[in-house]
Amino acid sequence: MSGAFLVRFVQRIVLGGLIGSVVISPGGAQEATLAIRAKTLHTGAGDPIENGVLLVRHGSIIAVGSNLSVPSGVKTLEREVVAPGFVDLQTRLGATAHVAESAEPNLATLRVAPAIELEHRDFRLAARSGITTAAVLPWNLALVSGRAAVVKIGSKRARVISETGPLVFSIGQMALSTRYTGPSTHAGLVARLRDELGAVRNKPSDPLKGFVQGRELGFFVCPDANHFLSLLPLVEEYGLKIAAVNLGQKSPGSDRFVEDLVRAQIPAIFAPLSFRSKRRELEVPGRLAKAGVLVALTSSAPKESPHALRLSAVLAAQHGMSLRDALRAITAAPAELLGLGRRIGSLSPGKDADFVVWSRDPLDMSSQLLETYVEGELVFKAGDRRVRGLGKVLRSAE
Amino acid sequence: MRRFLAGLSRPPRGRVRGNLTLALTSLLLAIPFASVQPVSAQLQRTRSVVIRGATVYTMRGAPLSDATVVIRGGKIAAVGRDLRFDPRAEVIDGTGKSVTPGLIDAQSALGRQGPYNGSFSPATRVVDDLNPFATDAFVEVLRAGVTTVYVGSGRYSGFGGIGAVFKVVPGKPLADVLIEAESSVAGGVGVVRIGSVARLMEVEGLRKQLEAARKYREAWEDYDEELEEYEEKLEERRKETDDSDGDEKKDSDEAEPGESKDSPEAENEPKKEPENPDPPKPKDDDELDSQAFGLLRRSRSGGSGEEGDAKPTSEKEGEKKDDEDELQKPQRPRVDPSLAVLARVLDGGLRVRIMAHRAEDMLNVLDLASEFALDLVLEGASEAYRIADRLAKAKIPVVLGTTLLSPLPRSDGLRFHRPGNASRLAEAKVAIALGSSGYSAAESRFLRANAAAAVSHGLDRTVALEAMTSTAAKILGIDDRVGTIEAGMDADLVIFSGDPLDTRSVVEAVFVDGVALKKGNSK
Repeated sequence: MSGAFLVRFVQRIVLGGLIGSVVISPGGAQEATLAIRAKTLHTGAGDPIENGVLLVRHGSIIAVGSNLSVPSGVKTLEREVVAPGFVDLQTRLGATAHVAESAEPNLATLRVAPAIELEHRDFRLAARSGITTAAVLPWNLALVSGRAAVVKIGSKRARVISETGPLVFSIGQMALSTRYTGPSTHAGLVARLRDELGAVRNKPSDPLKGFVQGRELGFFVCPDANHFLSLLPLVEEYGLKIAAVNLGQKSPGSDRFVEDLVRAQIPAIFAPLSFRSKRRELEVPGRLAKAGVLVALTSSAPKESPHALRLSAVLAAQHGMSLRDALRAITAAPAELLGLGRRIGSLSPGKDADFVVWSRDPLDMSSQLLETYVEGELVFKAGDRRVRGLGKVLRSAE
Repeated sequence: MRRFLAGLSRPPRGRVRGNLTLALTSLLLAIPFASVQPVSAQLQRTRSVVIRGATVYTMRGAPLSDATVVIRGGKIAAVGRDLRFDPRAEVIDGTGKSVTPGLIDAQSALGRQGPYNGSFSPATRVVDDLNPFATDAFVEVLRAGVTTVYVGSGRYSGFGGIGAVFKVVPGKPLADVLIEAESSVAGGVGVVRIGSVARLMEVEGLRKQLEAARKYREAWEDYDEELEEYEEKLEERRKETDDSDGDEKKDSDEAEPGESKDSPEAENEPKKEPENPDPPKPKDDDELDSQAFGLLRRSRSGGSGEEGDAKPTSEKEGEKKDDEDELQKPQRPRVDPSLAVLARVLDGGLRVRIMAHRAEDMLNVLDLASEFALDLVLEGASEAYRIADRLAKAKIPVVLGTTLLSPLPRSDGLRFHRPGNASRLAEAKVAIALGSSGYSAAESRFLRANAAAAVSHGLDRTVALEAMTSTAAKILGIDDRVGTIEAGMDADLVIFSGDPLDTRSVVEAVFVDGVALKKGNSK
């Protein structure tokens, strides 16, 4: 029975407009498979699909398409709007002050991962605002502040999926700490950075080697646009790959830095946009995205509420960013900047089944988050005080 | 000529064009430009504008689909389906769009000149500090569909000043756009000072001020009574003596109380002793009167301002007079503008807006409200969901600030801030209005996004819209003019490209008193 069924199943999927390939192992395929049928399915890659179906198995997406027929026996959820889980590039979720390390200017070996409390309530709050993956950044108190960790939200506890996340650099007031004998001016910071990079060149191995050779992306936390621009010659000289974090907080909307960023095509990671942001500040993400710059928006949770992530996208969309770019700025773009573009950030076959069920379009602020799934597992459900596992909720849904 | 008229009715972009035409016409006709201006305004008011085919959120029952709104003379002339209207009217096609009343921000900072952290007397009026020429902010706020704002005094500890309600009209003198210059007296508990004892002291401070105001009011009431009695007796005596120059004296009495002229005049013995023979009752209030500014209580604005310091001398005079005459003019209590304002609060003539976030603070304020029969509105109210039923029972309306994110980051007072606050209050049938939190001037432009955020946490869509229109108007006491789309109401309207609570919808046109600010008009 199951053989004939499988053939039919595969045929149907292929005929139904399957994107990518499906590999179905024999035996219990239906039981392990979950289908989500959505009136509007935002895949995060291309236009939203009307009446789309998402097939999930063992935490991964095996098929996405419109009018994809679902074989009998496969649990099917009927939902209004489904969109990719959000990826938040700048958080300190679960990280207590133990991470505020500033022993010396170069902390390239520091990792945030060991300092994260994986059962912290921050992660539940993140799940209920649609965040499924978060980068936990080190405190930017040292020139080379350390390595971020990448964390996935879980139903009971979060999981670190990468201990060796992006290297974070700090070029700003915060790095001019008096607590260590490091640089005390911006010029001093740049000089020190030059020294560090030069020293790495001659070493056979170093934590900064990948960065110096231009193989690895470095996050540069630098609120002052002018200070950031002063780094560009160094970047060119070494052929470095950098992303600007929190850029423009101090000179929002400066035409010069927008132009320079576009010219250098440096990805921009923004501090959360809020009701207190000025109009010119809110227009910058849209201007950059329009010019082809990779833009990511962030929440800075828990300093701000994790809801600030979606709010940032909504506000950016209200100020000239296209809806597609705005959604991308909290899904695919940050995934790419984390080097996880092949695993998360959009709903396509082979990627993790991290998705969120909404009552309306996710970029309509009045839209209600109903469920959050991480790798096919329900981690948050609206109205539930307790977050339950997928199995239980599936039973109660039927 | 007709096109020229049509140009006029489409301000402000149209007005520029219209004025140009007018200017040329006026040159041709040799009429001075200035004399043409009022004509254009007049035309604007008499010609009607019709919005057709839109979904109209009248805020009176369910929205009307494919409905028509007729605007004439700055007011809504009619609203409904299949309406007939003047064929010469300017017609706006609203197909696929929605029309709502102009949004009301019940907690704005528009036009305010500073953060207002200083010390405030309740007599301070925010309206005296508003800058209507902060045109950029006004335009941004209006462009977001907000046509009416309440701006509070921003004193968040003890009693602050008096907030105002006005319409958002860029570049117009405030006097022309004011709805209420004195809307409510602001106050706060646990906002500035977050220590537990400090917060209790703040409630005590409010209570003391109100008690002082009560005494102050009594003193004035006594004085009024005594004065009346005194005048009556004086009159009687006059009749007795039957002097011909009595009229003159009477006039001077009113102009200046307590002069010595009267005493020798009234040298005859009084028929009756005054009921209250020793009038220094206001003396008890001396310590409360330390801040007399020489201003007068509003209800007695006719008097002169010398009373504050004149007391000792008048007492002396009184003593002198005592020797000569037993009929004594009652002593006027010292004038205290702050207490005068709070006395109005006690009379129910002025609302009180207390900002409080913690449940226990709010409960303390509720006690205070019932103790003094205050017309109370709570503001901020992050934890109101915890006492929703109490608020509903006491019928205390609540003005919520930022609903989604912590209204005051890093403040202890907000431990239990929840985004579902608004929806819980709505379920308990507490009247809620939404505000933009009132920290920076242009923040009002996010009023709608703020409401949408509350909806995303369970607030009913209709209630959310009401919280920015009809309910907000009721809480501010201006629902006779704005907040609904009905015949006779001010023609304050917003045309949205789609659902008004969908943040993807854009504002296509805004009308204030029937005059439109078009999209894309930057100044």
